[in-house]
Amino acid sequence: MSDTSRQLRDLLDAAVGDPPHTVTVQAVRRRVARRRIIESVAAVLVAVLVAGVGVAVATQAHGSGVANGPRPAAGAPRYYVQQQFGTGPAASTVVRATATGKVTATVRCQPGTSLVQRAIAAATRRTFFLACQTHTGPRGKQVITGSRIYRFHLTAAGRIAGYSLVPGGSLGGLSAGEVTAAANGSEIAVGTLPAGHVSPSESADIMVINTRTGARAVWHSSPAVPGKMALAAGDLSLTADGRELVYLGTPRCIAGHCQPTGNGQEVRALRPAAAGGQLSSSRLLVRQATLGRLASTYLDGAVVSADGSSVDVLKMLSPGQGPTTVSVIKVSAATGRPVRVLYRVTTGNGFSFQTFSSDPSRGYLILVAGPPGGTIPNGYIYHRHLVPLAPADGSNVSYETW
Amino acid sequence: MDAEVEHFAQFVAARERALQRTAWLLTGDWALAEDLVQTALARSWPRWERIRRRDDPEIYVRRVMVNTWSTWRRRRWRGERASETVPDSPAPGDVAADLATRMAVRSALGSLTHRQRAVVVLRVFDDLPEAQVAQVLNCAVGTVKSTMARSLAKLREDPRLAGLMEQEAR
Repeated sequence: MSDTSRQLRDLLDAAVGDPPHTVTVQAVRRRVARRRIIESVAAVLVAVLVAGVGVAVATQAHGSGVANGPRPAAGAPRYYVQQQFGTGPAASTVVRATATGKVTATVRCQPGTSLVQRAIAAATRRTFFLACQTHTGPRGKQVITGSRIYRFHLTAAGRIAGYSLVPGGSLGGLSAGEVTAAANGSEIAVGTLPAGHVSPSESADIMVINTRTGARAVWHSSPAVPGKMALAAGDLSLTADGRELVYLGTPRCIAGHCQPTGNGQEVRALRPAAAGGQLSSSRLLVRQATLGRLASTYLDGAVVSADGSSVDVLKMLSPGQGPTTVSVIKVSAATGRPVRVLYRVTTGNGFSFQTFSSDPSRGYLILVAGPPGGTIPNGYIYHRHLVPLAPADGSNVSYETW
Repeated sequence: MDAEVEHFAQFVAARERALQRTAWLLTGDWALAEDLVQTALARSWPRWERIRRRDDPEIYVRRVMVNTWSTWRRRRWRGERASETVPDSPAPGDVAADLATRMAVRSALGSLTHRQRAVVVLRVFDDLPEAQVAQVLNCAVGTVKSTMARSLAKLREDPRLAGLMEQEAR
């Protein structure tokens, strides 16, 4: 050891002095016992955490299917609107609490008008738009004379408040069909046909209404050409900002006799939605053939994501023999290719499809589809499972949204 | 098992003061030093039989102590610390001179990196051979040598410590 080191050692020795306390074996043992308790508690916590993660992973890995287990997702809307088949009170449109299924309000049109099926759409989860038709003539022989678009809000308790006519929502001489709304409520899109039309000889136009100014723009369908299939627009949806309008086009023979075309459905986009023009000028997003080449493949619904980057498509694969598969597939709007399967269920021989819709955030997709006859599961898709909505049987549901 | 308990008790009784003094040079605080020694012993105790069989217990405990101290340096609150005793209690002898030495040493050691400080304490104060210091710090002997040289050079630059060392030499 060098001199410097030796001097330093003496200095350190002088500086240290004597410890004020003695470390005893008892103190060390107490610390060991305390460490063991802490480690045991930590081990239990880790085990609980690992078990929880394991269950979650197992649930995910289990695959899709109607799930009895999943609890309602925390972010799901608190209320949903349900339209039912039937006549009289049975055909009512009601607001239900998501958690319990309890009816909190009944949606009605003004006296002398009637609510249009599938013509109700949500914006901002608490704001809904709906279409009511005006008509003349005796019951059973009524003729539609026009439509009106109304807006209402839901209170925290699920009651209806602020029911009012939307600026630009009085559509004289037009029969309103389905309605969709931008998540910010600034724009709505309505499928329209001339009042007194005889379906399906005409294809619907789409009217986009600015709900603040009442300004309207119309996207016209192609004029009917005898013997030629035309795309009929349905399943309208708007991006959150209302800039893009997406629809599912299904080939339909409007006039004369047409040669059937297989797998010709297309999801198309109109941008800017408020511009108006010809539906034929729309941009192709998804081809039916991309999602399935079999003739038994059919698209039953499409909803654009809030930002327009993808489209959630409902696909039915129903071969003549063998089970039917119902799939909800997220498709990239940029490439038209499937990104992932959000939900898949096999319904057996055949299927019943009632409704497919989304909340304004596009995070919660309602699906009422299942085996033919009997109970049809009513629920929404969450992490590849169908979380049941109350009432669980959707066989009498004609439309639902939130 | 009883033999292990007995051996551990003997080790603690024999070495706790030396360990605490080393710990003080690392931490600069008696409360922390005591805590550090207890922690190192508590971590060593469950493996005591194996430590005795395979290792030198003293080297093992010191290694645990240095590693624990390194971890504390990264994690612990290093601001104001609560203490149940007033730090400047009266002491026998030349209080002012002792305090000056203590503060100078603490300040000089504080200027070193944690590895340099550990090397100086283990090599100079505990008088461990370079090979054992390397074992404790889990590094090469060459690293201990170079770290030691750099540390001494740095300490020599400290004017207060240099003055004290000259006094010690006289």
